[in-house]
Formats: sequence, C-alpha cells, structure tokens
Amino acid sequence: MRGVTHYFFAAALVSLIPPVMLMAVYEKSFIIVLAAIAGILPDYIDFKIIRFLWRVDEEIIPEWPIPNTERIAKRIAELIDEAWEKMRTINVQIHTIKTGPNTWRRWYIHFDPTKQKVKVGIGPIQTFGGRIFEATIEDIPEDMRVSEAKFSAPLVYGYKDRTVKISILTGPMISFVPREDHLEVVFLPWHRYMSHSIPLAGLFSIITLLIALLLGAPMSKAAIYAVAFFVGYISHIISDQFGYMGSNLFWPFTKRRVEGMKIAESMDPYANFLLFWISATILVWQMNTSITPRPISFPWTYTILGAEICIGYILFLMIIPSILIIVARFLFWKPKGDPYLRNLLEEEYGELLG
Amino acid sequence: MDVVVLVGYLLLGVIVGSAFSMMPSLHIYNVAPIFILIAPQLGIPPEALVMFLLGNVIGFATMNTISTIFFSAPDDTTFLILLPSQVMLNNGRGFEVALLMGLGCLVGAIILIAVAPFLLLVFPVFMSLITPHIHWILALFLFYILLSEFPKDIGIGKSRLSRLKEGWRNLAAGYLTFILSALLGFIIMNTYIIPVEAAYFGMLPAFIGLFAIPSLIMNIVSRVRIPEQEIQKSIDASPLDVIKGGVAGFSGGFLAAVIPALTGGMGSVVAGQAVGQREESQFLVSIGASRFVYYVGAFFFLFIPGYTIVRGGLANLTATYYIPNRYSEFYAAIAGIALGSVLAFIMLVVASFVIAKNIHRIRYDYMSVAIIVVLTAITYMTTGLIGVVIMVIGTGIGLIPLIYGSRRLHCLAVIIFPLMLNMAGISGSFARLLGLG
Repeated sequence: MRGVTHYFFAAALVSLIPPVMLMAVYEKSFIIVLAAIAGILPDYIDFKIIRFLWRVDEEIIPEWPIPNTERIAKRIAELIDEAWEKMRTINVQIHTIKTGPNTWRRWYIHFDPTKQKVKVGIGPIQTFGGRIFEATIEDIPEDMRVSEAKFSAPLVYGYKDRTVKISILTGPMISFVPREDHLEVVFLPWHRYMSHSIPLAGLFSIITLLIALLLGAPMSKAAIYAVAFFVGYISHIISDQFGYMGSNLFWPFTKRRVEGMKIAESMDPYANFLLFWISATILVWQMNTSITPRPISFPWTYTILGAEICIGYILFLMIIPSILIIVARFLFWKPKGDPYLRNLLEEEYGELLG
Repeated sequence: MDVVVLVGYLLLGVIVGSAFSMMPSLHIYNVAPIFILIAPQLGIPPEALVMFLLGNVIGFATMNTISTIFFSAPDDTTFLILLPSQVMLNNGRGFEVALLMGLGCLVGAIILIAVAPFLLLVFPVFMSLITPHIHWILALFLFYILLSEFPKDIGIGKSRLSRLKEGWRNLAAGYLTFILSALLGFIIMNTYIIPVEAAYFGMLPAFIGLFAIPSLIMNIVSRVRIPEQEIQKSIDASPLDVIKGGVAGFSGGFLAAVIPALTGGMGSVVAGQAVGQREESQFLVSIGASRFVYYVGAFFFLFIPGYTIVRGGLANLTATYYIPNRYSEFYAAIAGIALGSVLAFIMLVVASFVIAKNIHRIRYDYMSVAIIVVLTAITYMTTGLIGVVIMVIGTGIGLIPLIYGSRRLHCLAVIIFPLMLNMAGISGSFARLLGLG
C-alpha cells in the first residue's frame, strides 16, 4: 500500500482502542500521531536506511548522453554467469539516466531465460509525471538503441513481465541469487525483508514503553502508548500482506518473504483509496463518539458489547461507497504486465514520490 | 440592498483583485485592509464591501497563479507547481499551464457552488466535530509531510556509508528546513518581534522569504532565458484528468479551508496521494482547484447565515467590521462566485496570452531583481526593518530545499507547527524550553 494509506489506516485502527480517543481529546495527547508514524515506519526503514546499507556488488551506470547498450547488456550477462559459476549472490544496483531537473531518459532490460539472452534498449525522455517526449528517441542513433548479450547460467525469472523499465528518480536493485539447480532473479532484495517483521514490531513497542516510562508516564499510560505503536506498525504489515509480494514476517528467525494473499496489489489506486476511505470514516466516527454531547446524533445507533454501532453510518458511508469503489475498479482499472514486478517497481517509485 | 447590485460589487471586486494579484507575491490579504479602511469614506455600505472583498479573493485565487507561472514568485499554495510549470515554460508552454490552473479554479468553483447549499446543514456540525481534535489532526498532516519525503538519489559508489550520506543529503536538508521554519514561525507568533501595529502582516515577511525570494534568486543565479511561448488552442489533458484533478484539488482545498493552518497545497498533496494522482496536467488542475476552494471557500464560510465561521486572515479582519447573516447575502455570494470565477478565468486567459506573447523579450534575471526590490519594499512598508530581517532569514531557510533538492513543503512548518502547539496548549512550555517564556 501507499505511504498515505498506511499512515491513515494505522491512525484509524488505533483510534478503535477505547482510551486512545479520550486521551487525544481530554489530555491533548498525540497518541494517534504516534501510531500513524508507526504505520509508515516499515517502509521508512526500508527506503531510507536499509536500501543504502544493503551490499552492492555492481552498479550499472548508463553513459550520458548516449548510453552504450552493448556494454550494459554484456555486463549484465557476465554478472549472471559470474553469480552462477561462483555460486554467490550478486546485488546489482541499476541507475537511471537523468537528463534535466524534471526529466529522465527511459531505458529497459529484457530477460529471456529460454534463449539465455539479456537485451538492453533505450527509450525516449520522460518527465517525473510520466509525460513522454517521443521524438527524443531520435537523439540516439538507430544502431545504438538496442543490444543483446548471451549468458549460459540456468536463469529462472519468476516474474511474468520480462522487461524491466527504468525511468525516473533512482533505479531498482536486482539480485542474482544462486539456488540448488538454478539462478534466481530477485528484485529489490532489501524491501520487506527486515522491517516488515512482527518480532521487530514487538521490539519497537517495548522501546516505546521504556521511553514513555522514562518520560514519567505511569505504567498504565506507557502500556497504551506501546500498544498503540504495536497496532500502528502491525497494521502496515497486515495490509501489505493483502498484496502479492508479501513480507519476511518473522525476521530475524526467517530469511525469505512469505507470499502475499494476492487480494489487491500494493499500488492499486482503487484498493488504496478504498482503505483510505474506510480509515477516514472510522476516524470521523471515533472523533464523534469521543465528544460529549455528540456533535452528530446518527439515527439507528445501538450499543453492542459497550461499543456504539450505527447501522446507517456503516451502510451509507462505509459499505455502499466501498462497493462503488470496488465496482469502479473492475470497470476502469486495466493494469498491464506482471503484478509482482509491476508492484515492486511501482512501489519503489511510489515510495519515492511519497 | 438589491442582489444584482451586490453581485455587481463582487464583479468589480474580481476586476480590482485580479489587477492587484498580477503583482508577484502581493497577497490580496495585504491590499484588502486598505479597501476596508476607505470604503466608509466612499459611501460603500458594509454588505457591498463584503461582496467586493469576496470578489477580490476570487480574482486573487485565479490571477495570482500568473506570478508563479511566468515570474517564478510562488506563494504558500503555488510553490508546489513551480517545478512542473517552469519545465513547461522552458518548453514554450507557459500559456497551457495558465489554462490548466485556470481550469482547476473553474472546476473548484463549480464543486464549491454545488456543495454550498449543503454547507448550511453540514458545516456547523462539522466544525463542532473537529474542533476538539484539531491539535492531533494538524500533527497528523505535519508528520506525514515530514516522513513521506524519500531520498531522490541513492548515489553512486560502493561504500555503504557514502551511499547513506548521499541519499540523506536531501532528507537532512528537508528536516533542517522543517526545524528552522518551525522555529521561525514559533518565534514570530509567540514573541513581539513584529510590532503590534504591524501584527496583521506578521507572517508576510516569513512567507515572502520562504516561498517567493528563493526561486527569484535561483533565476538570477542560473540566468534563465525564457523561450518564445506557443499559444495552444487546446490543452493536453483529458476530461477525466480534469475531473480527477478537480476533485482531488477540491478535497484538499476544502480540508485546508476548514482546518486552521493547513494550506491548499498541503491538503491537495495528501488528497492527490490518496487517489494516486501523478500526471502533471492533473496535478496543475488540482492545485488550481485547491487554491480556489482554499481561499474563496474560507472567505465564503463567513456568509453562512446564523453562524460566525471565521477562516483566514481577511475573514478575521472583515468580521470585526461586518458579518453577513442573511440568506439573500448567502445566495448572492453563491451567484457571485459563479459569475466571478468565469470573469476571473477570462481575465486570466487574456493576461496570460499577453504575457506569454511577450515574456521572451524580457531579461528574466533583471525582472527577478526588480521583483525582489518590490517585495523588499512591501515588506519594509508593512513590517519595518525587523520584517526585512525576518524576510532575509526566511530566504536563507527557503534556499535550503532549492539547493539540496528537498521538498519546499517543509517550509509550511512555519505556520502549522506553532498553531499545532497552540491548539494542544503547550506553546508556553515550548517557549520556556527555548528560553522565550
């Protein structure tokens, strides 16, 4: 999910913990903000810390202004063979081609494990927002636009979409990981590896508890802050698990990502908006019920197990809009390519865009 | 007073407001007090003056985009479009940017008019709902802006630390901008550094310094030359782009109009991310809509009969003089917004056409120097020497994100941070912490 979705979803979930809203209103506490920060923290750790500290064995830096596609294709093929021959993981950081303050030249890497070939192609210049200047492809001589190179390793490319598009801001990292009988291509190996971990959420919550105690909060209050942090952090991991990629849920005890439930893609705009909408309606409901007398008296409100529930609110503001968003998604959203790879790359750009 | 006459005053307000708003960084909130002062001497009745002021705000919201698009002097809502609009201006498409922004203003006006009658029912309840929560809502937005900036470059080099350092250059610059802006805003709002007689203009020097002058300095340093502009007969945006941008912009602008200290730009960034907006033309439309709803909507709330909902500096000042409380005034204001937004759009198109036709003849660096001189004069005349000092400090802070490529949005901490502390009731403690109490 997008950062903004995680952030508001965490805030909404934590607002459901009974004392939280009361603390926010009557003690002017920022506990909801703390939980929201926890909700964005796993991606913050990945994109702002771990990605820099991850080992880089090779960098692919395209020449400027005319990239040498032949050299790049040859080097990638060499790296594939080297990883297989030496049976060691090679992490390759791929760089973008920046052509101006808001423009980049798009380029591609195409993996063909069947023919054991890697192809590199150069595309047109595009802006940050995705506007393509088609004519700029003419800047590159025709014979230098595409090159290919052969490799001999038994490459397994698990993503259906075999062309990696490298466009704006920073490029992705690719890992060539040797397994028993093949060499696997793993995209963004550092993402959702350490940070999206339930034990780590527990550890951070204990740290929150200790900080709250150190700042003089009584144990009961410190515990609420710790629980709020845990709920916020876990909300991120759970919502990501609805996607395709999944996460390494029990790091440091496990080493590989657990596949997601494939219900919605992490960068699906409709899924993100749906979760954002539900979060907003939960927050508004909780804001209303935390004030006495209630600013809005909703009809058909019942108290069930101590919690106020309004059928009209749930039906007209949560269920019906959610159905409309889901219907709109099936009618209007037609993504192309492989969801795993698209999500990985789009998430990379999406996170960079905020 | 006759509704037609009231609407006439509003349209006059649009023309006068638009004329003043072409001056880079001259905020209508700084000109309007003069109208409030001279209106009684001219025999203008209060209800007509309020409509005239609403017209001023409509003209400003629409026309002041020119100073960002063509003169690189943005304010706290338009600085977000500076980069895409400069790229388009350098590609000879400045006129198209103005059309997209103007279209955004029109879409914002249409949605505002459509929801206006419902505001009578919803708005007072909504206000009582959010008021006890404003401190954490502001903090929620503030920290999102702070945390959602991601490194734009991972750097080249095999050392992990060198990559971390490279990647954190823009992040650290962003955080530094945030902290310094927050401190500057806190000091201005919680001390008597700005003389009491100039209190109404308190934030003006900081805003000019943070948002307008840094980009003008960059123009001078980089010796920008603007190419001849094309006059497009159509815009490069589909109806769906316009609708999506308009709706996101309206949501952001409305949120900002309702919640104190939140600005239209900030609101539409969050709204735009919630709907997954990325396309440039959509973004320009959304900022146009957001800006219109933020300024015009905030002032329009004053017209909601039976309540005194004061949002924004000009509404605050106007409320001390006259508060509209009749339904006829409310509906006249809606009609005025409908006609005024069209008039302002036409004026924007004409003015942009003339400027786009001639801007390549002007030495942009000389013009930037001239604008800086005018802005300094405005700051000095309104807030004195201390205002100029604050403007210079603000300029220093505002240059950080431009030099290091971080988000200029962090500069908004200048207003949000002190208000957030104020709403949470901890301004005093923080002032003591800084040795100000």
